[in-house]
Amino acid sequence: MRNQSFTPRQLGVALAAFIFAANRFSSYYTETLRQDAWLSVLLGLLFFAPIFLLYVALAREFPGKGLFQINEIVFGKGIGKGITVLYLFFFILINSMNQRYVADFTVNTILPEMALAPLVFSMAIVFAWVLRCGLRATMRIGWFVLLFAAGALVLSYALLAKQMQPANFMPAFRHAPVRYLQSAHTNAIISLGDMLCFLPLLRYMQPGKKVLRPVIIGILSGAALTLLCVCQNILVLGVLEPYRLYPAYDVARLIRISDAFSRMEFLFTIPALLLFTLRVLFLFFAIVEGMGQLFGIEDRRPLLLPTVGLCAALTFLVVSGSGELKAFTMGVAPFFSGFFVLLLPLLTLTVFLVRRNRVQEVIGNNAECREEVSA
Amino acid sequence: MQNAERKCRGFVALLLVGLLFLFAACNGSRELYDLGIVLGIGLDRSAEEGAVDMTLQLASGLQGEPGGGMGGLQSGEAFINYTLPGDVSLSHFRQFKLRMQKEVYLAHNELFVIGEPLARAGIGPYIDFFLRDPELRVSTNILVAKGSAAELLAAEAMLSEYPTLSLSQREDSYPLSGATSRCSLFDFVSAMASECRCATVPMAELQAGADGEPISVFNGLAIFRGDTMIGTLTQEEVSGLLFLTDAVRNGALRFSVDGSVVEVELQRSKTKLCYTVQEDGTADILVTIRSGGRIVSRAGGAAERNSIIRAGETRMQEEMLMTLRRAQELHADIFGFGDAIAKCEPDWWEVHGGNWEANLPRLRFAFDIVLEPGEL
Amino acid sequence: MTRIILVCGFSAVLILPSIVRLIKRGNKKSAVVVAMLALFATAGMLLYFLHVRIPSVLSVISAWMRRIGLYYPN
Repeated sequence: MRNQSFTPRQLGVALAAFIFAANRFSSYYTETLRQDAWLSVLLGLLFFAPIFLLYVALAREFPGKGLFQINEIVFGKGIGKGITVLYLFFFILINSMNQRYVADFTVNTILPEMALAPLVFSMAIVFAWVLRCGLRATMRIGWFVLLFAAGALVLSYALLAKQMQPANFMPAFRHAPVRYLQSAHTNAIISLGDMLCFLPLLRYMQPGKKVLRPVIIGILSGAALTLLCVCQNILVLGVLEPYRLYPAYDVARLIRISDAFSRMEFLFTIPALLLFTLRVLFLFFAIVEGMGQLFGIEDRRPLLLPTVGLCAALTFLVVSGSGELKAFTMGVAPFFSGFFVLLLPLLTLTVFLVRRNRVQEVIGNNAECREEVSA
Repeated sequence: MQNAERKCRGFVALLLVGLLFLFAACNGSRELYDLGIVLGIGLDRSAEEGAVDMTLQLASGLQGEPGGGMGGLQSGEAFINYTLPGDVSLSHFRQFKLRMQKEVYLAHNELFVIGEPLARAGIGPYIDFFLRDPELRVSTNILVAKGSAAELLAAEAMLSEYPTLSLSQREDSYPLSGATSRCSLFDFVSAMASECRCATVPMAELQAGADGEPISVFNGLAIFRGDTMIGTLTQEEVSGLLFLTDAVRNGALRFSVDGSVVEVELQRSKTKLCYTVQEDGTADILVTIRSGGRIVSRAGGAAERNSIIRAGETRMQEEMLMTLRRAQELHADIFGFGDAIAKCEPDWWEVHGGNWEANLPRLRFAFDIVLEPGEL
Repeated sequence: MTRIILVCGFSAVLILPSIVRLIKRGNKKSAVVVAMLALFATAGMLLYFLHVRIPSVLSVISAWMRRIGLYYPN
């Protein structure tokens, strides 16, 4: 893809938006910990820290390479492609699930009479359009989306100040320790772990000195926004919070500025839809990147439309209903995604460390070959 | 080549524009004149077994009268009330659709009115639909009608074309009147979901107006345990509840000093409750109130400022004790004491919180009230 | 029948131009890949629109993970 390069700072912003988007249409934080849900965000960060270090180590060892190139270098072409297929399966699966979240939310709340299919296909057209504009353009709008969403969140805090009851956080720390562990695990793997999809895109990042700092700031600010949002849900909804399907949406529906403005849920829906679109788009970029690498096609543009179509079709075939989606996310996904988010990259790093000398030889040979060719 | 590509691109664009009309949710479009805009929903006990009479108040400003002469249809100028028996479900609303050419549109509903006989039988099965419907809002007010909800919704409202809007606005304006407390569907369901708290819902009744026409008047509160109404608070007992739940914004306090009547308008009142639990399962509650205000009338004019203040503080305490006694009689925790103790003393609550209603009379209260009226 | 024509027509209109372009440029490999992906997508859409009852991917994964005991009970 031409002209795709982005700066580390843009990556940080994208990560913040990506993480903040994760919990907008789901309530898996609150179900297990109820009034302590805010803690799961913090515990999730702690839990995720070693995984993050793993990603950093991989990126450090292979500067200027994406995850899929790393696979082929470390494992050799054959096995590398096999592992790329596994990653692709995972990315396509979570992409379809994320699309289904948006579609279900829209059909359940905003457009109750709308059928799912036209909605998903019109979304696909939008995705294809933005994908054509390229990674760099998408990264650029990250700032706007993130600021808009954060502004809306702060505004809703101000408008709901009267209805917030700090007592809703009480009684604190009364659950079994297993529950905290479960919620930290779920949070780390699902809302933070999905950022694995940025690893393949790292090959487009402009080389710079300070890469780590903006990335960490991005992750922390994404988590901070999530924390603010979870706290608001608990403060406003109290005992009812675990029973609602879309707590953040219900919170926005409670905003009333006298009688004149009683329909303020757009403060939630517009930023949430924008954030989710961005999230799905980054997943798309990773998928297209993987497809290109798998089939050895350097120009990724012809791949965009069929990929988007494939994911749209899979949106229906992957999930049969929103109940199943929730049960999967709460029960199975922390383990299932864990395989891709933690074990596969760990395997890659371990194999690399074991075969370090040989791999470096291969890289060196490749470089020599390239020099000879260019000479 | 270039030309062909351009043509192709134009074709795709045209196709997308065409699809736009198919995809843009126009298949579900509804025109304004197709909507029967519901302003209020009333529920009453029905003569039929297992059914309720649902009354919809529809705005008729935009629309022609739905075919006149139907049973149960009352027609005013700005609104139409229409009642049908059913079980408050989609099929129940569909029954309305079968009888009028409008689509029932609930997004602008302002008020739920429950008839007292139905409230005493329990409204849980009907609340569920209101919670789940995407058009309705949980911030909508609830009201209990002494007698029939349908009659209350039909009564003419003073200075308003729509009875529901008038009732809802009066319920909203409690901070100004200090006479009643507001209860939204959200508050009601929160109380239902709580282990021990009872919801208090304003009550309204019909009284004869100046010209003999009935008008609606707010009077007292209905107490709900779970989804069932178990008793009432009179208008005199309401102010005690407002003091104890820190809901007083502007309230009038009326008492006598040395035989003359004095009134104080309370302003900036703030209540704090402090709980001390005992090993034997009882609890002490210290009620601290700080309130400003102004003395608005002193019929006799002779009493000293300090004795007025003392008498006012005593009156506030009396009002609270009156409400507390009533709540203890009913074994109804309308103040949320149980919830608060469960939050700040969870260990104690696990042992002693089991039969909270029975424990309610064993609570002990102490009062620390300071009234500081600004002018004499 | 209408559904099959609609879905296939929709896919063809969207994909064919790019395949034609790729072949004209001599990039046959890309063309084959794109055609294959488009075929998968079309097949997926057909499965959905023809209401073919197949178990969803998530339910298959769920059942499998539950069998090996890796899940959080509700």
